[in-house]
Amino acid sequence: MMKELPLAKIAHGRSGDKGDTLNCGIIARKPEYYSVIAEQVTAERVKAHFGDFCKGSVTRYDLPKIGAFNFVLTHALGGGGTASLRLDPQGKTYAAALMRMRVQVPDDWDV
Amino acid sequence: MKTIRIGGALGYWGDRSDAILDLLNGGPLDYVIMDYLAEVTMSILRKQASRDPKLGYPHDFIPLMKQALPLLHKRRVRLITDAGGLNPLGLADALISAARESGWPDLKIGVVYGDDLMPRLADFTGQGIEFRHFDTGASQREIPGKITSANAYFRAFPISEALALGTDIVLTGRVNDAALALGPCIFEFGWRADQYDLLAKGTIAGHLLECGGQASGGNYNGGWQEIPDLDRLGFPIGEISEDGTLVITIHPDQGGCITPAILKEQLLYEIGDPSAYIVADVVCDITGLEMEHLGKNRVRVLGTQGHPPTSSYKVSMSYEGGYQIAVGLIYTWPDCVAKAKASSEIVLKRLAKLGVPYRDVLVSILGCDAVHGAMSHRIGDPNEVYLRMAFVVDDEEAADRISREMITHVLCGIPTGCLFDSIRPTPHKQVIYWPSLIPKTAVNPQVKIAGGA
Repeated sequence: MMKELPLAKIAHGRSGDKGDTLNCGIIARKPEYYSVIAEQVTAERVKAHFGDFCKGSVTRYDLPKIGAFNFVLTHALGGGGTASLRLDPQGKTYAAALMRMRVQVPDDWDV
Repeated sequence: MKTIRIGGALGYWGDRSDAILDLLNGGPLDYVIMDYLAEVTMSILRKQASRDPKLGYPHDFIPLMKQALPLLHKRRVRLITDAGGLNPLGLADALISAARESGWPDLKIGVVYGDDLMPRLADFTGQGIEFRHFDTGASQREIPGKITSANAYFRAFPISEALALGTDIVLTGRVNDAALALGPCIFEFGWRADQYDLLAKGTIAGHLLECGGQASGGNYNGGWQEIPDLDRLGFPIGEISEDGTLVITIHPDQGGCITPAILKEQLLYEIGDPSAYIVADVVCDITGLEMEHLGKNRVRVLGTQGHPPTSSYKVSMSYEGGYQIAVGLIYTWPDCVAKAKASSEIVLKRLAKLGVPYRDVLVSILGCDAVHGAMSHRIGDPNEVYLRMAFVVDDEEAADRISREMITHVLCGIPTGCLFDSIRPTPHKQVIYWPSLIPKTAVNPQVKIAGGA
């Protein structure tokens, strides 16, 4: 059996900007969580999750040795820097926004 | 094996400035680095320099140095910083005067400059350099506003050259942030330009240190409750050895902590492809990087690899856009979200009626979904929300008319609206970032000595 919970339960992360490009570094809280994230938190799902916020592409890079992923979202900051009208034009809080995504994990995981 | 200790004392202009004093007082250190320059900082400096040509560097740097210089002198710690901004030579003069007053008359400064491309922009375009936008590929000729800054990101070798001349402090303009730490590694260990693995290891050390407290528990998303004493956060120290081995730590008895999870957040911060993290000295590959928790507040970082650098320097340009202004009102219970939405529609109708032009508008409701938009979870009826309406307009007059209109809604609009802090916010000119490249052959870093015995 599986249970559904927010990604925040099994991962943490930090986000930042390069111009209008956003990146979210996502880290598995335990090594065994890595494959669940790899399977379920795909570039396509992240693109859909950010919806209108991301006008460009999403690329996922995998770093299995440190149990992490880097998501790069282009045209995702409303123009970026001081050109953006957004409240978080540098994307500092968007890793937290990604942490809202729902994931399925085995019922017996203590999370 | 020879090991040096480098402290990361500042992540951007505006960061906690007393961190350098805590780093110098807290324990042994050989170098301290301070990164002042974010993407659009040069434009802000240019605006200040247009009012006072002697500036062009952060105005609070000299007051801070009046406190730090005696410590740097006494403890023989060398400082490397990009605080030079648009005017590293001018800052060197000001710093030498400050050092004289602080009892350090023979302070010797190395200045790295030549990164400012503005004086030669016409030359470069004449040579066919187009400064194409990194993301869109558009040529610089298509920039729809006045260019206010253009700087190349220099590499670490000019910094090591400046250190080799026996300087106590190195002031630079724009360099790769990580070069501030790689420079002393090259100088101390004699790393060569073709030792790519070593240059990459030094670069990753710099990357982990360049954002200051973000590597020691600041802005940590993995469990902020576990980070001790953020009020006296110890800033990170990199212990780097001749063979590129890196250990990140903090001084004892300071706040914050060092764990692999914290360093992983910083490692991935503002990077793109982890197999090709490009700086001017080298292309770093961190896909094989590993971290070992050696003990309390000590983490070893290993496995970084390097590849030959590209033939270009990154360039950050910026240009002027329109004016931006954000206005708003608080709305309280009951039905505050619905009231805020209705109010925003009325404001826009009023602006249409008054004929106030604007290029763009963003309506946000703080307390509801203002930051994460449609990703936010649903909430019921909060106690209060803040209606924020942010506009881009052509001139200050339009901004002023918008802010005057907003105030009228306290009496003429939806009920339970009240003002929040500033009644009349100040508009600011937009500075728009334009990243591009320049061939390394087109521009030469300069190194000059100032002061000394």
